[in-house]
Amino acid sequence: MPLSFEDMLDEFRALGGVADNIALKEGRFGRGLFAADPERPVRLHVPEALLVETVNVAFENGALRIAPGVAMGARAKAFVEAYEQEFSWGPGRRHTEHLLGLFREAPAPLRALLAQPFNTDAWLVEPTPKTVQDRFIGSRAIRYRGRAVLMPMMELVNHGHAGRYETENGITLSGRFAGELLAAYEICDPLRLFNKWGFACSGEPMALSLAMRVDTRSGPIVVERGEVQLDPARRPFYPDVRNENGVLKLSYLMLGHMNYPRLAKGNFYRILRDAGRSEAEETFDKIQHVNRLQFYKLIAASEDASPELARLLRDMARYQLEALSCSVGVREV
Amino acid sequence: MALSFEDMLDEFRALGGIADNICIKQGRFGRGLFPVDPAKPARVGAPDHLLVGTDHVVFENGALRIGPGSGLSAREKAFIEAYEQEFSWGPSRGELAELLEMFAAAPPELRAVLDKPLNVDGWLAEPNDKAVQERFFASRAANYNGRTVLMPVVDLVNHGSTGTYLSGGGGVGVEGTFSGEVLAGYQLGDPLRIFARWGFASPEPLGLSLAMRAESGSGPIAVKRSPIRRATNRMLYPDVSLEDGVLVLSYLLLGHRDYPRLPKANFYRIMRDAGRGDDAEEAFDKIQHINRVQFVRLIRACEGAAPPLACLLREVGCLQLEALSNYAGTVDI
Repeated sequence: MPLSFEDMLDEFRALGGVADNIALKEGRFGRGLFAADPERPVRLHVPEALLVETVNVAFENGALRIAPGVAMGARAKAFVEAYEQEFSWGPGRRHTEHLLGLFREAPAPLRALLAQPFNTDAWLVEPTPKTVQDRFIGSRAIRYRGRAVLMPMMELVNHGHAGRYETENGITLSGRFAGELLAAYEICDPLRLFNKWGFACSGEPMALSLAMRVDTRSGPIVVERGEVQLDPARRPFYPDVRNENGVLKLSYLMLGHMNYPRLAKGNFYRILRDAGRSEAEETFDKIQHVNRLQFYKLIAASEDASPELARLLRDMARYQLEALSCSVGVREV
Repeated sequence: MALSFEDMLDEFRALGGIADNICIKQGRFGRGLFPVDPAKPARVGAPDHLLVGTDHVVFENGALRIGPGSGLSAREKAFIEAYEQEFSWGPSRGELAELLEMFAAAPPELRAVLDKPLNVDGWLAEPNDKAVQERFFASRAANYNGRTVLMPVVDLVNHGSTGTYLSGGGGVGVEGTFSGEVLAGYQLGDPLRIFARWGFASPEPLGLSLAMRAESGSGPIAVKRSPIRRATNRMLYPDVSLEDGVLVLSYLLLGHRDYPRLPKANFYRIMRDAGRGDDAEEAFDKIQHINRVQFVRLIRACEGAAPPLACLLREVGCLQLEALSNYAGTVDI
């Protein structure tokens, strides 16, 4: 018998979960969680005992199962499997299959562009049961204490910037939400969100450079697309910088930020100054230019794709371009 | 009886026109002129007396006629009317009417962006006979010795950068050696300006700012989109004036494919001369940002339009963004 949302909540609570003032509804991003009463605070907490490491997930006859031998109570295991069937993997696999199918049918030049320089490889695989499962897991897992885990209930929260996850003895989202409960999946840009989760998200405040090598008169620079570490001890959005055989390597490079428009150049000019490199302004302009051109190309190449995929890719490209554009002036870093 | 291209050329030559080594074919831009032998020079020229002022043109029952007082002989008049019916106004009017209809049916959000800030007003008129005639004149007539004239046969040359118009006391023409289609630059402008007048998307080497007022740290800057006057001393340098504390520029080059350091060089010089040098970098970034955001908005607004119009406008938007993006560094001027 299908598990109703209310029954599922009851069992979730019985297993130590907290779900106060929560309702399931259709929103801007599809199905999501909302405050049942927007006037009152919301609290959603998934205890550690219900977080399932992705390495412990298996698929049997199309159903998501927790692998035997996992230190998890039988009731918790039954709950997670029923939850996945009814609310997550069950409905989610069809969407993932559909999306992989759209990418498979895309014209060859578009697929080539998505592969390089956008590194959208994960969506370019042949849609088989295995790849659908991998994509599903890839798009649902979150890092928790260095492990990739599935977080039942919490994963119904769509991506946005209205709230923040807390990771203390489980995963918690709390606060007041005027509309849908939204929380940032990761600190990243529209391209990375798209590559990982397969959706285009507006309102991402910043954009990172594509991975690239740029040759300047004062030496080559390699920009990677590593993770953004927002450690309070570090300068905001300042990448790891190293010099390897005369090549200046940056773990990532922020090129624009809606809330800190002077920061992108501030950081970059500082990196080049510290490295004894000249021509910071021209090099920054070049990196921006190369990035922008790739997204213009993507918009043009999308014209020959199916309308649904073309729209998705255009939306993502627009959001990335908007964020890239937020570099105005420079500040001392 | 329909006039063949060869018969038309014979009569054109008999009336003083020049048409050496040319034929008509379908090319990338629709129907256009090509060299019969690409190894040999091609030449097409309309003599002064065949250049009809648009003020002498009337439309009767859908046909273009030369009114009394044009000074043309009966034979010249007959030639031009037949030429227009068969090769210019006749085939163009349907295409223009169709394009105007698509603009009229475009979603209000898209029409609003096209109106302001893109100033594509000419294409937003009610699609009636008068509007079609006006668009035809705007796209086919040229300025010649202070008059707006139609240029029979020469108007079959499509826009491109391989050739240039030769204009003097004796008429208007295009000549050169062309490996493919005979093309000539209609106007020095950016993709937006070319689109606003002729209704097609064309890659151009330069990108100009939209007309705007930007509030910068050192005071307001008003940028216009006046025609580019070719100056002998500085390249693509606008007229600059100070009006009640507002720095007014007749236009502003923001990107140039062949001279990527020029846009900032010119702008920084203008700002330095105005005593605002310290603010130049940030003001340039701001103007670029405002421009980019408008074209990204255009791409967004196309989503609700008819597919052919959406595709055309997205191409214009991407080409303009690409032209705007061509700046990197600066040089002292």
